[in-house]
Amino acid sequence: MTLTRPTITVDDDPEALLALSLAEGWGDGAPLIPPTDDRVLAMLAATPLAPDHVLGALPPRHGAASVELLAINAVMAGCEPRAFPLVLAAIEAILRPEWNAVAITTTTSSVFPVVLVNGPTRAALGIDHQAGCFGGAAGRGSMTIGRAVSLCLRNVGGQRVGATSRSVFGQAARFGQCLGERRRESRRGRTPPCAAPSTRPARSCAATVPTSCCSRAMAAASRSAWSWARPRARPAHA
Amino acid sequence: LTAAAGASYRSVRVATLTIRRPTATFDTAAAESFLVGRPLRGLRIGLRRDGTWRSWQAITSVWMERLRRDGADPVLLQTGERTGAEGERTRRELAAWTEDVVCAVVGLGTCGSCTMWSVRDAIGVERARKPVVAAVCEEFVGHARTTAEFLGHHGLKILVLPYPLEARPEAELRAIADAWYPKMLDLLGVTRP
Repeated sequence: MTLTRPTITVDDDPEALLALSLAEGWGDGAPLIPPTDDRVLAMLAATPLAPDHVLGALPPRHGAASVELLAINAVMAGCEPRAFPLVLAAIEAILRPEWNAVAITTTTSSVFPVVLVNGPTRAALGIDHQAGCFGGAAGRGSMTIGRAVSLCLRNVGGQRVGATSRSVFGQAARFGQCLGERRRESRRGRTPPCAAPSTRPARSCAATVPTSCCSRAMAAASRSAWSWARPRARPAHA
Repeated sequence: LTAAAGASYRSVRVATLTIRRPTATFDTAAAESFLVGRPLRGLRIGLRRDGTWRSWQAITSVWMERLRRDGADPVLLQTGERTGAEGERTRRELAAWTEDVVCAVVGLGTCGSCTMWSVRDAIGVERARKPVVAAVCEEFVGHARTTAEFLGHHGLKILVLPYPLEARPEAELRAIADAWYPKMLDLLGVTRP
């Protein structure tokens, strides 16, 4: 597998990488994992998609969302390779017209994407789905999958506050928001699971991307844009 | 750490890492802009608005009257939602309207997303090689220019309207429409008899 994105040389020092990311505008203000070739290749090994496969043109600047570029950003966010198919699924969901990414990435409002995950890998990936699931439970999946999606919007979509994004106040959750649904509990209750319509196979994982104006406004989010996609994981025997 | 240890630490040569650049390459090749270059009489001129801004509806209504008065043939398009079945219909109607008109005015940019949609729809007209003006309130002109430049349409013509427009009374909006009517025609490149 050959990587094609340009390379940068940086001191092997976390602070140097952070400073570079801020100077060049591709960081989100927090420390990043260096996207070295070995890490990017490990990420790419988790998907059956080729590195040069393009999922679409990501708004607002319509950068080509190649799997390699998304993998680089997923590495920087701290994603585990096995979580990468969910990052890809979230980006696929964002790219669907019904999510209205052109408006959502540029709006004056403070909306942000929420990645809702439903399926058997939810707990294994550290996607918070119980107390504190909207923040503070510190699951690696929750923190890094949401962050990877935000970094992709920044670096592939070109979403930048003050330039392409006009969000007046912004929102802490724009750093990244990902949580899991409790499928069984949802089925017992009156609310159907967001990420699992009844037609979807029970054994699959799904990433749904609604937008929300604040963390506790999920009911209100039903009036916002919703989109979902099923992750394409590399088969175990591959 | 002692001072000596600190100095020693600073003198150590830091190893380097090679990492992959995480940013996409954006296509910003400059696109052409166009001017009408003929008088208003008989001109099929498109006005695009949406259901959001009452102020822009008022201004475009006045412009419809003025354009008819001056012998033009205005074609109004009110766009709907951008998602779902209505989004599909909006895209079809925009395409047909773009095909139908000789030139167009697209607005209103007075928030982040509506500016983006106005610029994108205006660029759609420009890509059909037709003159177009994006109507944007002054607060969002920077956003509109940045968006147009990022999408390769550096020369997109922008009619700068006052901000805010939305809370103004009808009489004031009519006055603004009258005052900005000649500027809009100038930006389109309509020649005066």
